[in-house]
Amino acid sequence: MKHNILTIGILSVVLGSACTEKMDIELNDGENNRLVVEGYISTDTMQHSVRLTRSTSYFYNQPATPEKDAIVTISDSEGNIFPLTYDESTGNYLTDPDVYGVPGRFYTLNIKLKDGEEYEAVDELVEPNFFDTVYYEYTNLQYGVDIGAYYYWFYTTFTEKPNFDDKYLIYYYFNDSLWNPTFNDVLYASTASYMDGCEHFEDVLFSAEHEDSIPHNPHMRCDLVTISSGYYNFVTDLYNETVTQSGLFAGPPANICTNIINKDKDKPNGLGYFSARSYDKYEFDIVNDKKDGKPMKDWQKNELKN
Amino acid sequence: MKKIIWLLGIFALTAKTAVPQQLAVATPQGKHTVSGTVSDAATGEELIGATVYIKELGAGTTTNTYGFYSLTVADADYELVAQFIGYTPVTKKISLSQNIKVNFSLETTTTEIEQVVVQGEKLNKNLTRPDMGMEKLQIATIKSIPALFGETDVIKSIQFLPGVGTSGEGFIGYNVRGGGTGQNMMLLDEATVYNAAHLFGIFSVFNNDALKDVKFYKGGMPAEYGGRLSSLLDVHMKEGSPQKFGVNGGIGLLSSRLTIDGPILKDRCSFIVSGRRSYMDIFFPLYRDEIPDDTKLYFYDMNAKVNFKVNDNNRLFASGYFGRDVMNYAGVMQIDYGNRTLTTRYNHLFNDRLFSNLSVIYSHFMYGLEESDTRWESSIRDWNAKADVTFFATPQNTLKTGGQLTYHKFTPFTVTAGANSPNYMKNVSQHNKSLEYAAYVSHETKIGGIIDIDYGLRMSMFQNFGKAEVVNLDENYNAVDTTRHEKGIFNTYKGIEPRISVNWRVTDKASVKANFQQTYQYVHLASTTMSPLPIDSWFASNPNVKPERCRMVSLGYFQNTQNDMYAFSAETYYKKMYDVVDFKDHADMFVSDDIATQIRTGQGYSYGLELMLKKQEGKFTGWVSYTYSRTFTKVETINNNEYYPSNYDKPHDLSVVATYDVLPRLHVSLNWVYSTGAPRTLPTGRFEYNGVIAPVYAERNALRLPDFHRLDLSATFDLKTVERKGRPWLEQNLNLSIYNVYNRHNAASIMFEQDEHDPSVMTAEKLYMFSIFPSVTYNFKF
Repeated sequence: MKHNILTIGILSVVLGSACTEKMDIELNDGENNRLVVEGYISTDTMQHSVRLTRSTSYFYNQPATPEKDAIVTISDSEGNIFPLTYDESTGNYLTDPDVYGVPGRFYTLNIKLKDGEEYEAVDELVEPNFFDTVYYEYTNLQYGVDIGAYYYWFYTTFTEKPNFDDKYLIYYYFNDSLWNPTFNDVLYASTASYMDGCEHFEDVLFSAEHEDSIPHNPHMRCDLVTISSGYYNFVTDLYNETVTQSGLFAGPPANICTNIINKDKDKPNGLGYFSARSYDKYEFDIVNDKKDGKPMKDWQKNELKN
Repeated sequence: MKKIIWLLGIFALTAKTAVPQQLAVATPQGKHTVSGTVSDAATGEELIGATVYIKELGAGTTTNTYGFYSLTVADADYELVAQFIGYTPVTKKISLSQNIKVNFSLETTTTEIEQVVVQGEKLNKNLTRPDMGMEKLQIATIKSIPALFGETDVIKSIQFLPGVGTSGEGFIGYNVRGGGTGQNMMLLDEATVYNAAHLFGIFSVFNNDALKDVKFYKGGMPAEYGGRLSSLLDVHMKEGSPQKFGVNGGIGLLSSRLTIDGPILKDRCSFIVSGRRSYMDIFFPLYRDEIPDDTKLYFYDMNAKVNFKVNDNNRLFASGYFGRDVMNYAGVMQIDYGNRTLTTRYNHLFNDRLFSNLSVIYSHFMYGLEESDTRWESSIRDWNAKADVTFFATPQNTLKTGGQLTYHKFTPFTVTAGANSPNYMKNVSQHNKSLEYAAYVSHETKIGGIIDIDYGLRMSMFQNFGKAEVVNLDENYNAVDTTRHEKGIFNTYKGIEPRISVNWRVTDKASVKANFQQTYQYVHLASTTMSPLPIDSWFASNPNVKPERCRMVSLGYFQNTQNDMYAFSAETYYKKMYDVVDFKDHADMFVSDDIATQIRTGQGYSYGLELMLKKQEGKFTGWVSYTYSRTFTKVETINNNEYYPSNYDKPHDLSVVATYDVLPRLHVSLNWVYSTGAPRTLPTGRFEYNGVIAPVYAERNALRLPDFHRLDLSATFDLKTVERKGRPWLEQNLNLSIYNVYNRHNAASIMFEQDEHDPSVMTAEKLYMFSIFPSVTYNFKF
């Protein structure tokens, strides 16, 4: 993904004459009103949520309406069942607050809609991996080049597990607010055997140029989320179809994969994904990132772990 | 085997029918051969495709790629005529009682720099030759066509021909009769050019100033060529004048070029060196706010050739090309890519009727990605040995045979880690080795003066060998395990490729032609993008990827009127393609261990009608071409395994190319192109996930971009010729061109944007590549 971004970046310089303009286009309406599922279970003990909505025509241009009155449960491969109840305030179905997932187990989401249609989604909660290092810089330099603005530049490293499909999301929170909610720059995967046992390096930049962009001296949290191959495929599909898609150098569009299976084989499957995730988290406070409210230019690298 | 017997039968039958023809021109006094070369009197360069005929018999031939001809006829006194349009014909009286050599030097009637369209062939050649789907492009024609940034180009020119579509505005990728961009063979002095793009395709690697001859086959491919399903672009470089030194060049907005040629040993040995360099990046400091310092963007290339005439029977050539593109962002990230070719050839005349050529060819394409001091590189290397023999049996019969062996070495990736590289980066490399063999025999015969048949058989074979790891796939294309091969041949594919073209001269001014060909392709190009890029992957057939195969039949009607001033053609074709490769949905080349897990195969078919009306002579020249074509593909796991329109299915395509000599020193040209919008897969619905609006698609390529059309104009002013000692010393002209005159914003792609303030609102935007763009180029020739 990083190479694609690099390519597109350089191409945008090459093709400086390319422009965009708004246009009217009439799209065909497909088979809409399909069930959409967004939810997960993780190794965290918490109230897990599942959101049910419906697909619409492309230019519907209204928020999706939550699907109510469904019977929703999550069960694991050991026979434990966790019922979810509808929460009017959020429009989500919620578990009890003491629910957590156990690595190595398979989790199944069962949905029975009020019209009688039933769906099922299965995902494996894989063993977690752990950060080796988390550190950051507050800098205006990237590879020694002044990039004209100040950024928090976070580095994380972790070691790839042998004979394992390494698939991860990396989330960054400032004062408990997720700072990269749209999967951009958070995804890493490798099935390449030559990477086994090697330390992997990920970095991400967050703009600090605007006073309101990142809170002053924030509390920081990094999550290394180990995910299944199926969910990785879903997230990469979603990323391709919403971020890198439609450009000149994008690949042919294709539907985003799903694990929401309609129990009636003659009817279309749902959309979205129910995932199971293992977490490793690291929290710390950032101090002295600014002096007198102004960016500090040469703040040195801080190694916060190991 | 049945096919071979059938073909051999046809061969035997026509060979027999050729014998009476041979006897018909023979006399009791016996027969002898007149042979030689036809060259340009000014430069000494041999002319390819010049006509040489005997007036009394009406029998003739054309010069081959090396300017050589041979005619064997009954002993008598004759007038032998050599002609090449744009040159003054030369007639020589000969008395044939023994084998003789007659060389011709033809004087030009016009000069190339005047931008007059010089036809390289006899005007009615389209009626007399059996091959159909072949176009011989003149360099002067190419130079006269208005072009983006004023950069005229071979490939941009063939995109105006019927049956040829462009894969994207401004780019050099092209699709021929429903074939993919990777199904086009491009040869530069016989060396394969795997990627002809400079600056991601705005320019091609073919430098007009260094080119002598360009032939383009979209069908009717001769048996000596193979390796690609759809087309052949056969480009030959100039040899340089063996008589006098010359310098020519041009200074353009984005690039400049310079060519020097001349004799090393007068009339025996000559050279040509031609180079180009772009300088788009020198303007970057003007955009300091948008483009970081140390950002580079340029290409350079060089063509060089030496030829040495040992004696009348032996000749040596060595030619090479080297080019590189460099794109460096802020000095920290870089993409570079380029081609390198080296061709050495030896022509030998065994006797006046038996011509041979031996070539040894090296071809290399690489691209690299560099970040910090870590470099990722992919490359293809070919070593090729090739032998061809032509036997000019009689004016009515020419036999050709030959063979070639190519050693391919694919290096899908090499990672070179530096001291500052992340520690997971190791120095790793992977290679795949394979051999591609081909042998062919063909026979061109003329029966009764009204039927020409060119038929042949090409046998090809492909083998993977050497140390390799081949993944074993399950039914879902997941890698299950790996089979390790230490040495030797571990996989073989074979192909039988019959070719036949028939030309029936219905009248002096009309002919009907038919063609059938089968082609195999053992190396494949798979693109993860809608537009061709250097980072697209070439890979060889292996136990997981079969060779691609294509069968095509075509039928054409050709009519000339008003002394061949106008030429009309109508061609129709049907083409079926098997085992074509494509990437699976959402393929990711950077994550997987083996490309085979990302590849899917399928089949396709295409059909079409191509109409063309050409005005070949006069102040006003040019052509109008219209193509109706459809092309469909079915690839496993895509579109529910149903056929869908290919990405380059554009049913209607119209091109107008015209040049008019307004004044002796002023020439204007225009081209206008129209095509149906390219098919695209656009959303039919949407769903929300994680705050993002995600698309839902129904059928692949069910909708289209808006129709494409564009007008370009150019004017060339011949500036005053500078004279020295009463002779022209410097010829020069100024070319002004306007690309996209009426500033149409043709959509290259449609994108959908989520509204910043209301994330549930989506809007459509079109991406267009080029607005109106004027340019100026100064050309000179010493």
